[in-house]
Amino acid sequence: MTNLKKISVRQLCFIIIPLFSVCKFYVLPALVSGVSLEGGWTAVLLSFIFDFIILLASIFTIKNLEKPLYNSSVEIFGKTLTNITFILYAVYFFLKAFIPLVEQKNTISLTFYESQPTLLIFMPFFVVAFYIVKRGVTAFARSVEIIIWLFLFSMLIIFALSVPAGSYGALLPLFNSPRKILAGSYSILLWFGDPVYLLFLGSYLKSKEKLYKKTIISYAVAAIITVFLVAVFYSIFSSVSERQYYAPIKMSKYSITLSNIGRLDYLGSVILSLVSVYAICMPLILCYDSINNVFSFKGDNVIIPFLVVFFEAVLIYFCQNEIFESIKFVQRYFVPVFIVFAYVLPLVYAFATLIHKRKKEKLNV
Amino acid sequence: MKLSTVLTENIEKIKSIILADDVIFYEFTACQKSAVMIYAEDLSDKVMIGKLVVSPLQNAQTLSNFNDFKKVVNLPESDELTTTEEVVEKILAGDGVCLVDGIDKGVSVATRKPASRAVTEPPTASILKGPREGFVENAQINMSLVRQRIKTPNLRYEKLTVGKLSKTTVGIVYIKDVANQKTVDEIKGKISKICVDGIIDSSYIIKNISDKKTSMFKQVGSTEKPDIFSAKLLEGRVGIIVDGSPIALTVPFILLEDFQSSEDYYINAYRANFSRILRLLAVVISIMLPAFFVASELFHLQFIPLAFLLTIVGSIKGIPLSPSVEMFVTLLIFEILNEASIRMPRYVGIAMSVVGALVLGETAVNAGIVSTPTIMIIALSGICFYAVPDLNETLSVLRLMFLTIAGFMGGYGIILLCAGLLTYLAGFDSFGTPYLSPYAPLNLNDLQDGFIMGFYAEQEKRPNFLKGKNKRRKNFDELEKN
Repeated sequence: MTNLKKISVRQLCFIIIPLFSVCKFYVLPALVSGVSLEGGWTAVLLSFIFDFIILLASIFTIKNLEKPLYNSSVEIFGKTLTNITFILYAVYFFLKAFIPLVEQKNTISLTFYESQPTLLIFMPFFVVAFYIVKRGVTAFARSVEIIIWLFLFSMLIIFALSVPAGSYGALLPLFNSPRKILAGSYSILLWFGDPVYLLFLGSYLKSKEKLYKKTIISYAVAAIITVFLVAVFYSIFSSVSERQYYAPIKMSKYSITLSNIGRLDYLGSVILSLVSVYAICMPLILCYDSINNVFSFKGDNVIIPFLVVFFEAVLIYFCQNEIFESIKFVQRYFVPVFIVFAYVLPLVYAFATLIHKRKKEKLNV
Repeated sequence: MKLSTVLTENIEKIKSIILADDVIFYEFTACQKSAVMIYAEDLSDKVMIGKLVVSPLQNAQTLSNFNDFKKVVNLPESDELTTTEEVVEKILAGDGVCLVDGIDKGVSVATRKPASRAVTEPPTASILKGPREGFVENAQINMSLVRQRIKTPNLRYEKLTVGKLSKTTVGIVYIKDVANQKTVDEIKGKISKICVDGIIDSSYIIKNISDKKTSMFKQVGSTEKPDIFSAKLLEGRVGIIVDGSPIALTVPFILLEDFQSSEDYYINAYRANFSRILRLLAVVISIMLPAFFVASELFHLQFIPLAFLLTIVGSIKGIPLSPSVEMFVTLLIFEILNEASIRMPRYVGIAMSVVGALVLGETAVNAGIVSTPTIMIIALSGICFYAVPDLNETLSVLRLMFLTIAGFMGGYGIILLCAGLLTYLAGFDSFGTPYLSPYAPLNLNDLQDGFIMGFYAEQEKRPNFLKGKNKRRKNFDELEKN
């Protein structure tokens, strides 16, 4: 493990609320509205429900494992299979960071810097990302304890300015055709599958008391915020929503308050960009952690975090001009891989844990 | 080297070690034997030496052996000395040492009278309400000021000597069973390992015991006020008093401490809360405002309301410097004025303010070198800078860092620097205590004395993050039992 220090259940919950929702704020609302129209929020809700099953499976695994995930996995599946799985997970986490990273880069270029060479401005992100990844899970979890308040503050600004501007009749009929909802849910699949992070972060928990209750509540909060944002977004833009990327920056601009006090909504967007930095770093930290578990590096390793972040930077460098094409490419070819790592393997882990637990109980009897 | 029975030999040995004119060798006769009283002129009380040592010895009936000698000079804090090294050490510490011919042992008497100023209000921590006493340069006086406030036998004061040449007394102060013993042991270990020639001030100790020696953030708390020091001991912190320094240290230290003022506990809680929030806001403005302004001017004009933007455009018309260079130069001038005004004599300082504010500021604006909004931003940032005086050193560096990055990268640079800084601080520990406590990791009990503090009467528990043994402030029985 990257850091032997532990994190608390509260910190895990604080990771869930802002980081599981912020990555779904930028491209997802436009994308899902394009497919599901007024049923976009239902499609997002459905995706959250799918993820909820994985969340329960992940918590079950965490709760029933006596050792960290890697050690337990070695015990259950053997070292070779565990090492292969963890290496593949490292690659998965590396690729999982790609979409939020692309979104962040585009948000920065299109909303903050209209006439500047944004790649040059965006590249220092990787220096900070390297530092965050290198500092490990404890520092990350503590940072998120501060970030969550900023996140809630920014949401307050954005909702306060955008909710009055919505025309909520646009959301009717409440439940659109199931096919459209399912299609919408499938189109945004890559933005979900976050509960698998918990499976890996669970190894760092110092206590597992009230784990179910607390994580489910925080997951519900993240889901409510996201679904509400998508609903408000569609109520503002209705039929033109599919072209309104980077929702947080666009939703509030019609508020009459802004003409008096200036673009206060930008403050919310700036804070969300800060939250996004951590959301992008989370899979990168887990990527480093997975590699570290396999190779058991001693002491503070600098090379692996550097390489993880460096290759991510290279990926962004080559895809910078075809960002939407890249997302489409990932959507076309990555979905089955994504389903395996985000949904199937956590379920496999949960079943394996259950069988292993029962075997142990029988042996004890 | 052992003392001999021949007094002249002993005197010669000591003189060969201490070649100083301010060390007095007062020779006299006691019971028809030659005797000498050795003391440092400016450190010892001559009257006390005369009354308590010389005079009784001169009037003594018998002085045939060390027991007779010890009976005559029977004073508290008097020690038996057998070597010349011990004699020299005592003399240099300010004690008087008496040697008698025919006796191979000496006696030291605590006649220290070091020069010390009166206990006054410290200039760096003025308050409207509350105690006005401040620490002085004498560790004994400082400790007495603490004992006046905490009279429990559990208050421990352990002395260590640090500095190969200075031999400075460093006292570790804590309340047994309230402070975390691990922290006490860690501090003792760190201080006893310090290997330097001299400790001139407590800041030397800070630099030696800090975990991250290159960090720009404080890792050890400091105060000049015994009331603050005592309150921190009662919370469970460990104090360090250094002889020769009016600044006492406390550990562990968290960032929040800089936002707390002793006055917060003496005034109405509502006002105290308001003040704390103001301080936090002032720090954010002080660091961020120049950077945000430059970033907005250079990269994000949409951040600025239209009416304000028109004002800015009007005022920057004709300014030859770019917004970032303009802000940087103005900030640099402000820092120079600040540095100069601190070190200047007070009467020149007033003239300096006039020159700085009127001549430099107004003339620069009139000459079209800098714009009015820039002057205003720097002035506001400068005022906010002093809302939390203990953070000044760090804030000035941070402000420059933010300004530089805003000039190069704009708002996203500020975001990235915030993320880096936050991660750095979140992973930072001071003696095992997270630096951002009680917010990261969040500790609900400790929020009672956070940015929004509870009423003092309701603060029943000591801070959890200090991991002390006695957690409840009102749990006296347990404390007395221990």
